[in-house]
Amino acid sequence: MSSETDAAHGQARRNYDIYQAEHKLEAERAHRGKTALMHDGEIIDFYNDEDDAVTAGKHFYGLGNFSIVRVGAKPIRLGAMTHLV
Amino acid sequence: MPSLVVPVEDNNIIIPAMVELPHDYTEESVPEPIICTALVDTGAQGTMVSRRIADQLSPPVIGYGTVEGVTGPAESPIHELRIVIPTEVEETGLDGEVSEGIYFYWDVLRVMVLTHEIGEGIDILLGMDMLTGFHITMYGNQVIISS
Repeated sequence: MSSETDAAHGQARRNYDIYQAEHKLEAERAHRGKTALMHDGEIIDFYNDEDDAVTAGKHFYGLGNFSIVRVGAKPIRLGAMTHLV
Repeated sequence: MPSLVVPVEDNNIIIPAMVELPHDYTEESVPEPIICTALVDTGAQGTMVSRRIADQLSPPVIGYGTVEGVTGPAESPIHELRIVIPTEVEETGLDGEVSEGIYFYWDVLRVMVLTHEIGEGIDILLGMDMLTGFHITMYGNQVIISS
């Protein structure tokens, strides 16, 4: 795994953990259905469109230096393939 | 209209596919695309890839999401990948030129990673997030996927 990919994993993991611990309740109350753009543990903004959030992340921080969180998203269901997870 | 005709075998719709990093990925040593097969699954809400794909291509993680597993929701990294489905069709352009080898492709598809193998040689579970963009027709013992 490359250093760029390692950094992306770290950034995304850290952002997700901070979101779960500090932002989840408030974000789901006020921004359910939107996509949060996060950078260095902070929520930068909420976007109505996931593509817009990713585009903004790439533009302002570069690939691997941001992550997104789908606010209030239910787990993806795989139907008959659920056993693969 | 490009279309792909796929036989249904053992109640499975399996199609050839190629997966690679999105073209806006700028790392110096971009890994070679992976030729593999994909299982079309209209019962899956999202597209998933095998651990092998994630390990070989090392796509950047753009977030985390959850997938409903047997024992409850499981976290998975979200990656961006480019997925190409080759078809053997002809298409006539506006200038009258006939081109062959039209592809179905998704330049940037956000996928999550499976923890278990789908089946031997199958690395992609194509879910409804990508299938909703196509017409899918069941005809006899075959499936026709059209754009």
